[in-house]
This record gives sequence, structure tokens and C-alpha cells, in this order.
Amino acid sequence: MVTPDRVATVPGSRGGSMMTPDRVAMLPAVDTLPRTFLPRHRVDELLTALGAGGRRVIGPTVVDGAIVMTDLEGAAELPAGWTLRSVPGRVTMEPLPEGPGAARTFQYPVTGDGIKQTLFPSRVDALSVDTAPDGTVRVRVVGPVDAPPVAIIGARACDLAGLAVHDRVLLDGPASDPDYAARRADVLIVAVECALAGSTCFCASMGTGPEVTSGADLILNELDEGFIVRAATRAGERLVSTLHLDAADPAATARATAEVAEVRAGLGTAAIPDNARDVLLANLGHARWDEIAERCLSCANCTLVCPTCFCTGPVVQSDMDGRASSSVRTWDSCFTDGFAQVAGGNFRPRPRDRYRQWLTHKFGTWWDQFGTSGCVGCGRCIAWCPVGIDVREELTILAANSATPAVTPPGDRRPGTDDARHPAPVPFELPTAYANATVEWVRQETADTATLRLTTRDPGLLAGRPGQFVMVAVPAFAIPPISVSRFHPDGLELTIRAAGAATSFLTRLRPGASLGLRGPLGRPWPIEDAFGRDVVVVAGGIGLAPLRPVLDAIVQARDRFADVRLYIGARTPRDQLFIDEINALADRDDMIVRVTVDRAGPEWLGRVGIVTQLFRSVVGTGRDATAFICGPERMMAATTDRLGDLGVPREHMWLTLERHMDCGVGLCGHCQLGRRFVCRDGPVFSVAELGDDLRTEGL
Amino acid sequence: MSSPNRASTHVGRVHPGVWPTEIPVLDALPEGPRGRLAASVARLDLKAGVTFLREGETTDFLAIVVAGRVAVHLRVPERGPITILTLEPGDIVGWSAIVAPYRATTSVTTLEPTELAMIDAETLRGLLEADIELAAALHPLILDTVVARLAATRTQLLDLFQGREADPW
Ligand SMILES: Cc1cc2nc3c(=O)[nH]c(=O)nc-3n(C[C@H](O)[C@H](O)[C@H](O)COP(=O)(O)OP(=O)(O)OC[C@H]3O[C@@H](n4cnc5c(N)ncnc54)[C@H](O)[C@@H]3O)c2cc1C
Ligand code: SF4
Ligand code: SF4
Ligand code: FES
Repeated sequence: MVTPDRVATVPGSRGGSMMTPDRVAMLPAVDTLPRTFLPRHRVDELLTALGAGGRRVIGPTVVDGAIVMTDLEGAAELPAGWTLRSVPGRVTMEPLPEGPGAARTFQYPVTGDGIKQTLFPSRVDALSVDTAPDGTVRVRVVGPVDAPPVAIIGARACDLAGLAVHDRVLLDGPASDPDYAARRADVLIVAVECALAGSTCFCASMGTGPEVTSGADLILNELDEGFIVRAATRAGERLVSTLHLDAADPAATARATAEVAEVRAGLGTAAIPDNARDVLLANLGHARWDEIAERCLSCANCTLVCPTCFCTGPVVQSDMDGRASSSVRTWDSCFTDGFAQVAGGNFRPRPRDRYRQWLTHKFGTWWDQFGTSGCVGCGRCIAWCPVGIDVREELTILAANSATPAVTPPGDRRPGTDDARHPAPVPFELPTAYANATVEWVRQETADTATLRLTTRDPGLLAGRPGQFVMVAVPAFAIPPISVSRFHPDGLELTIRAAGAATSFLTRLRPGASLGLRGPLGRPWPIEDAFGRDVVVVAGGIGLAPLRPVLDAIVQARDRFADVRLYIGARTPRDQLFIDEINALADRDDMIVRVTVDRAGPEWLGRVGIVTQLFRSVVGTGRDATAFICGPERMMAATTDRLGDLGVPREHMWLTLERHMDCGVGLCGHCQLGRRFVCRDGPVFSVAELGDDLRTEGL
Repeated sequence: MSSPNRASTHVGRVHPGVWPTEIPVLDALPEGPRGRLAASVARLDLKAGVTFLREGETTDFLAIVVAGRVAVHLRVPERGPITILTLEPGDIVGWSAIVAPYRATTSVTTLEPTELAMIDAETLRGLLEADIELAAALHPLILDTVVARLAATRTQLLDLFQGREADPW
């Protein structure tokens, strides 16, 4: 019997793992594997074999009235005689009923923590930023500090499905998470097929359980007298061979199989509507969202217990004199206030927006992002929700009053089955390391905005394109995303508005100062789209900064473009950026430049009014125009409306979005907008691509 | 029959009507009404810094900016004058000339030498009353102007209510 070894993934490697079926695909042969028998009194031998070579062995044990996954010393620590009873809103630990089976050790449905905490811990060291004696800022990506290999015993089918989803998210994207990759590289998994399900379980409806079909090295079925054992990988076979187990008695095997079959029968397969995936984005305005929001406490329990939730955020800790800091990556949640916070406001201000994001992501947009469901049917979010909100019920209600047809065939909800609709990953390497840069000069543009001219030798940064951004690191501050406002052969410029602590510090840097840059990130402006066409550039406020490289490109090759018009809005005359440069452009006779301010005193003789008023009557036929737009989101929406009225095609209107960003490479989850990660799928999008998303509040 | 307006004569130089062909906004008018309106138009040249419409006072004429730039502003208690927006060639100013009680809701001041195509308020009201076709064609243009003014005023007032410099967006 040939069984696959697990795919070892090394940090940073993403060599075609998406094409490798072993990790995610079902092993059709798993129920035909040879079965051996492990008597109950020999479980310690299995644990010892798992721990060989210094491997940590993690399994279930009773701590403070709950069953949790933790380091196991021996079989005596397993939760023999205990079970968990889970209903919406409550999980209680109870003794197993007297009689046969009373001494079983895995006779409970999922634990709260599962295996997520082991391979994707809630806190890991991520970065250290410090200043070397010579003044250079050094940014180091701190790997998983000698995480020893682990063995996990007691994983359930849904846990393994959750793991497959995490693999997909954290390893298979354009960038992979080095910490997860390292912890994941050498893991032995002993799964247990459930002989008991909770009222909150719905794995069979999601196609993930209760049978274990992939992702485990060993598969156990617990009987009163011991365990039926299957080895599903070579590593599993090696383990079993050291134990010299006898073949299982066919009658015992049949009993074990029957128990799982009984669980399956009890679960049913229709817990959520067939069209759940398609119904969500089509019903963003459903009244049910408000109704749920009245009950939801925004406590984030659901995201913490969910085995697939992967959003993280940095916590920066700095030393007393601000010369060194480290950042710890912690689990974050789309339910927290700060999750979608940016300097100018919050993209999901209401609990309703947050619950809607959670459910829509899990069951809907996850498919678009990762080609898989984000839910594996473990039921944890139902059981651990203090007010008992049940995703099955909510989906059923949302789907019931909706005319959305099922696009996805029923039954095809198994994680990892949707390569057809899963967009190909972005075909370029995303930089995950920081390069060094030095401030050459600083120019104060306005009272709160400065341009930093930086020099760097990093070839990646120097190869950046208009519209791309960098993450800017200095010790003791959060690391903000900043667009490149000009490229030079030996460096670049950043134009930064002091919007908070980090940006204020950056605008006050002096020549000679050192900083760390990670980039270039994101999709650039498609300048080529404007070749041979009229060009309309519309900028609001600091939005002129990311558009400045577009203007540079136009000036450098003016004859590649037809008519060029530049419309700029600033808050007040004092807030105008790059005044000399803009005046120089206005003096050219080959482009039209119009500037307006939102408000001004009587001394201002220029235009007053919002920027969309500038092209009331100017653009001729917009059909042949390409537009590049950046500014506050509502300004961009109004601008695209206006330009649309004037005939500019939606697929030729490009804008760049701001969202909360921490990683910039599609791993931390913060910048989501519907189906997209703004950091990696954007930040530049066409209006045609965004569709209604641009105007949907709270998305 | 164009009659240079009494009030306008002291703010700038008025000369007989020339139809503002450079102004596309009036192209929207059908030929008949456009011709009837044109017969009553006069030109008004203004220097920079001239306030030709005052908040609260009677509006003597409706005009279209032909060249230059004017600021529409109003006085806010405890804050002084705030500019609501600026108008450019093609923009209509003085809509209150046809809406009773014909009092200006804002003041308008030229920011640079400005040329207006103007029509006396009473004359225009008479024309609109007598000429339904002209009224039907002109009123939507005036409404557009009022709507733009409303939007711009809202933007500026957001600031006042929030007590800080709000982003209009
Ligand atoms: C792609 C992109 C390009 C940008 N380009 C520029 C630019 O060229 N010039 C410029 O001045 N600004 C730019 N910004 C905005 C800039 O990143 C924020 O102003 C900055 O992150 C604020 O950080 P702070 O610590 O100074 O502010 P704080 O007030 O300390 O931060 C406010 C809070 O919001 C969070 N926050 C605010 N905005 C962001 C954000 N965008 N991403 C992550 N967290 C955020 C912070 O973590 C914090 O919780 C860009 C943003 C994005 C997403
Ligand atoms: S959404 Fe709920 S049921 Fe689905 S995997 Fe997450 S915690 Fe489990
Ligand atoms: S759904 Fe329940 S668990 Fe999730 S945030 Fe709301 S109250 Fe908390
Ligand atoms: S996913 Fe982290 S910033 Fe986009």
C-alpha cells in the first residue's frame, strides 16, 4: 500500500504546493487501509513513540473543568470518563454515563481550542526593530523560536479540515507565513473519528466529517477495549511498525465503523442551505443583519474558537528610550473596534457590519479568496457564543427570503474543491523582508505633511512601479503602509501626512535618519491602459501622493498619451501639495491643470468647491479617456459617477483604496473588501472590478 | 429692448447685449426661447473685488459668467464670511432674481476681472411669465444651479456643525 508522506513546507517556500493534492485532497483509499488494534493499556506506548526524538506531544486533558489540548505526559492525563455537551451558547463537561464506554478517553465532540493554538499560536514573536550603534535601523523577521516538532493526538475530522484551510490561507497564497510554515513543517497527527457528536456539530453538512479522510498520519477509532488504528501516511506506518500491533478483529472494526455511521446519520447533511455561498453577497442589505446585531455582543469569541479564522495584528512593545522594539503577532478579530480602523475613520463602524463580515467571509467570500469554504462545520462558534447565535439558523433565514439561485452544486462544499472558481494567485513574489533606506532630505509640504527623499540600494524597491506602496518601519512605532510618491534610480520619495503617532514621527525625521522598508507591495496603476488615450487624473488631499508617479510617467512620455487633464482638490489653500510642481505642470501647454479647495478665506483667489465640480463642463467625450483617481472614498465614488456620466468607461476608471493594513501581503486579513484583499489584489482597482463594493457601507 | 439694469450700472461697465456663444450651458435651450432670451441680454464687465450681489438684498439680475471667476459667500455669525464655492465661465449666478421674494441668499464677489452676460430681473420675470416655452427650458437650468449651491453649502456647513474642519467626503 502506497501512502503519501505529508508535504513538508519550509519557510518562504511555496513551490507549487497548491498543485500538490496530498495535503488537501481526500485519500480515497483511507477506508480500505489495513487496520490494527491498540489495546487500551498500551496507549502510553503510542504516546512514547510519538514523543520520540524530543517531539512535543499535544493531546486532550482536563484543566479547570474543561477539556483542553495541552502537552501530555502520559495516557493517564487523557480525559477518561468525561464528555462535553454542547448546545448553542453553552458547553458543559460531564462524566460519561455509567456502564460500557464509561472509561473512554475521546468520547466528546470538539474542544474549544482544537489544534489551532498549537500550529497557529495566539501570540508569536514577529519582528524586532532596533537601531544599531551606527544609527542604522535594523528590522528582523523573528522566526518561530526553535519550535520543536509536535505530535497531536485527538484531532477530529473537522480539525483536519480546518488545518487544510489554514494551509491554503497561510501557505498557498502569493506570500506564506514563515512562522506557520515552520511549525507546520514537521507535525505528526493522530486523528480520532468521532463516536459522539454535539448538537452544534454539522461537519457532515460541510463534507468534512465525521469520517477522517485526509490530513492525518494515524486514524483511531475508540472502542471500550482499545483503538482500531489505521496508518494513512508513511510516517504513520513507521509509527505503527514500532508498536508491533496485531491486526484488528473484523468484528471490532465493524463495531467502530458502525459507531461513526451512527454519528453521521444523526448529523444529517442539510444543516445549512445549499446556496449559502451565493446568498450572502447578494443580501448585504437584508434586515436580518440588524436583527443579529442586536443580539451579538461583538465579543469575538466566535473568531477565537473558529479553527479557520486567521486574522492577526501586531502589538508593538518598545524599550524605554525608543531605540528598540519588538512586535508580537496576536490573533485579531473582525469584531474588534480597531480592525477596520484607519486614520480617517472606521470602515466597519457598526456591529452589524462586523457580524456581516464574519458570516459573509466564512461561507461566501472565502471561496473567492481561497477556493474553499471558510467553515468546516465544527460548531464551535455556536457553542462558545455567549448568546447562542447559530450560524446554521442565520444562514437558513438569510437564504429563505432570497431569490438567489444556487450557483454552486449542492454537496460540493468540501474545503479545497473549488479550483475552478478560485482565481490564480498573483504571479509575483511578495517581499517579506525589510530593506534599509536613509533619509537624504525632507521637505515640509504643508503644516502636517512632509516628503522624505530616501536612498536605498535594494533592487526590489528600486524596481517599484507607480501606485505601489511600502511598509515603513522605525523602532517603537506601528509600521504604516505608505505609497511611493516618486521613484529615483537610487531611491524613492514618500509623502506622509501626520495622521497619528507613527506618521507624525516619520514626518519629523531628519536627513541621515535610517528606516526599514518592505516593498514594493500591491498592484500598480496600469499606466499602459492610458497609452493612446485621453487621461484624466483626479486627486483629493494626500491622494495626490500615490498619483505623483503617474504624473511623472506622463511627463516622461507625454506623446504616448492624448489629452491630459489633472484635477486636484485640497482642503484649504494651505493644504496644497507639491505646489511648485503642479504650477509647472499648469504652465505647460500640453495639459490642463485645475486646482480647487474645499474652503478658503477671502484672500484666496482660486477655486472653491469640491473637486467633482471641476469637470462639470470640461471633459469632451469621455469614451476615449482613462482616469486615475485617488482621494477619500466618497470623493472617489462621486468622481467615478461624474466621469461615468461624461462617458468614461468603468473599466478605464482606476482608483486606489485605503484600508487598514498590517501585513501588505494577504496574510493578516485586515484589508478585506468583499472578495478582495486590498493589499494584494489592489490597492489599485478598476471601477468595473469593484462594482457595488465601492459604495456598500460597512463592507 | 435690452435695458441696462439700474443697480448693475454702479458696479461695472455695461454694454449692449451680445449672446454668449462661448457658453455651452445655453445651448441646451431650444432655438426659439434662446433667441427671445438673447434679445434681452447685456454684458457687464467687472473688476476684481467687486461685490455685485449682497446677501439679503434684492437680486437685480440673473447672469452667466462669461469670463473670470466669482466667489459665492455668506456671513456666518461668530465666524465671518465663508466662501461656499467659486463660479467659472458657464455658471449661472443670481437665481434669486426669479424666486420670490427675490432676495439674494448669498453674496457674490469677483475674484478676478470678470465678464457677465446678464438679464434684468424684472425683464426676465416678465419673459418667463409670458413665454411658457422659455420658462420650461430655462427652469431646469436654474434648478441645477440651486442644487449645486445647496450641495456646496452643505459641504461648508458640515464644518460648522461638527465644530472642526470636516472632510466634505
Ligand atoms: C496602501 C496605502 C497607502 C497609503 N499611502 C499613504 C501615503 O502615501 N501617505 C500618507 O500620509 N498616508 C498613506 N496611507 C495612510 C497611512 O498608512 C495611515 O495614515 C497610517 O497608517 C496611520 O498610522 P499612524 O500610526 O500614524 O496613525 P494612528 O492614528 O496612530 O493610527 C490610527 C489607528 O488606525 C490604524 N491605521 C490607520 N490607518 C491605517 C492604515 N491605512 N493601515 C493600517 N492601520 C491604520 C493604526 O493602526 C491605528 O490603530 C496609506 C494607506 C494605505 C493603506
Ligand atoms: S464558522 Fe463556526 S462552525 Fe464553521 S468552522 Fe468556524 S467555528 Fe466551526
Ligand atoms: S456571534 Fe456570538 S461569539 Fe461571535 S462576536 Fe457575536 S456574540 Fe460573540
Ligand atoms: S491581508 Fe494583511 S494587509 Fe491585506
